[in-house]
Amino acid sequence: MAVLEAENLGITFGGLKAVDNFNIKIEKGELYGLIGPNGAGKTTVFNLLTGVYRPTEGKATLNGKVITGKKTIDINKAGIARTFQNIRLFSQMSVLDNVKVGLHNKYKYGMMTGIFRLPKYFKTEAAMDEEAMELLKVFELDGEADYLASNLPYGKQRKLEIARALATQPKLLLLDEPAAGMNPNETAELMETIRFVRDKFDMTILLIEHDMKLVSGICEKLTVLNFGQVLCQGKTSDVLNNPQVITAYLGE
Amino acid sequence: MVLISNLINGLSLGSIYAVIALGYTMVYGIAKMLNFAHGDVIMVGSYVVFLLTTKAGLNPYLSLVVAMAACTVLGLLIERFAYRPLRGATPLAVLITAIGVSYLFQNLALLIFGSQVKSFSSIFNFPSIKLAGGQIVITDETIITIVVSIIIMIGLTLFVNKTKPGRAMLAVSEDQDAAKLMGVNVNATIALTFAIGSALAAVAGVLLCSTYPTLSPTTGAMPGIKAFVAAVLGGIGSIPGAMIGGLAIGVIEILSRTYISSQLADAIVFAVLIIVLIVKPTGILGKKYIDKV
Repeated sequence: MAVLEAENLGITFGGLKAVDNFNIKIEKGELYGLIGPNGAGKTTVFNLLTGVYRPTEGKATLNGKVITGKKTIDINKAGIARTFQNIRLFSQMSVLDNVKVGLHNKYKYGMMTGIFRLPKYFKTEAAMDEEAMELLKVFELDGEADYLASNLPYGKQRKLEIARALATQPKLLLLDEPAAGMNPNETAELMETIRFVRDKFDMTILLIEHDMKLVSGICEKLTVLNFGQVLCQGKTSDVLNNPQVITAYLGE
Repeated sequence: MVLISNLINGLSLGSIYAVIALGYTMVYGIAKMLNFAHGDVIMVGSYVVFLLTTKAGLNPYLSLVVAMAACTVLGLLIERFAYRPLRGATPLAVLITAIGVSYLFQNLALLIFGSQVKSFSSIFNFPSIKLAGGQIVITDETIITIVVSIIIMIGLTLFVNKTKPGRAMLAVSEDQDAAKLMGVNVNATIALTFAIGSALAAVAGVLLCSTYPTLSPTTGAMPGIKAFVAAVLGGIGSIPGAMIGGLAIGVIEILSRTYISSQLADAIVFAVLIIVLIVKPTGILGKKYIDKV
């Protein structure tokens, strides 16, 4: 069974069909790329999948369960986590606390336990610290755990966003332009990180990206969007050699 | 000596403002709205304690606990029925609603309890402390007020910064949408903020009425507004800022009442608000937010 399957997903804003007839099927462990020119509707697809927008047509399923129409928070609980095109960390919180927000639903204790600091409070917080630190170690951020998130260098903020998203225990990770604003060295490192995340966490990843080196380097399959419609879909090498795709990207 | 006792009175009044300001500042920091009905929750809490102690003969401390529970429920109801439907509406609509809720409670109290000013007897009954051969008298209310407000501030800071629900609050205050996508229940977090702020309002009400022993339907209105000034002075959204602002406003009010004019004292407090807004609009500890586009 596919991890993510979307059928005829679409949304209309006013009279504009921002995304129309969007189909995708992502198998477990796949690294899948969503590409297309600016304004093609890529981020809109992410917003449809995460419940930020409600699709006006079609449906999407995660591991066979329908997620369209659910609230954002329930979709996150069902197992979709994401990062953002423009980094949206909790910048005034520490690096560690950012990851601990991601762990919010995995650990439970009551409000009174928190106010009166019952033994369970210390036990749970210690367990959260430990798990968060482990995640940070994976991304080599453990040395900066106490830093304010806003004080991290750009590349590390990107990594922290991925760590925070992974903390929510997703089955599918959506990365929105993870390489945006990165220099070639950082991008190369990021490619390693994404591949590593997939292998280490056995993760299924759907990413939006403009950097063709990254896309051709790590994505196994691609979907190309153009004017809200799927232009082409399939294996990366096939898609990138498709004349229609080349036209959409480079012009005639 | 007079100056010292006035300063102590100022700190006592300021501590009450600080506890009220904490309610304003938390709700503003997390829900980004001004809950002008906060002052009236104080009034409701005070009436609950008044009725329970005088009519039902309940233990004063027990009645305070009941009042805190009642105010928590009231705060949750206000949030659920007045503010939550307006989530995402323009700030102006929310502000007007808050003022409407405030008048609603004042007038409901007028209907139920009448306009007659009730005399509220202090729920504390400890000896006063006399210093400098009886020249300075520190009442038990003063001491309790100051100690309680310090405990509340420290407790709240620890709660917000060191616990899971507190982290959710901070996350919601920074970015509601990102928090949602990380699995944080934004509505529940905002409701929790209202619950805590309203429970503190009950405490503030009892401290206020124990120190200034009168109670009427408008009891909470003026202290509520002054606490708002305190929250802005300290930097709205900041917990230590509310404490600093509250103490400053309390001291300024008492000193102006004594040394300048008792009629002008309120005017001076509001002049402080105007000056703060001109000189440092973010307040003493307020953060400057730069929106990245």
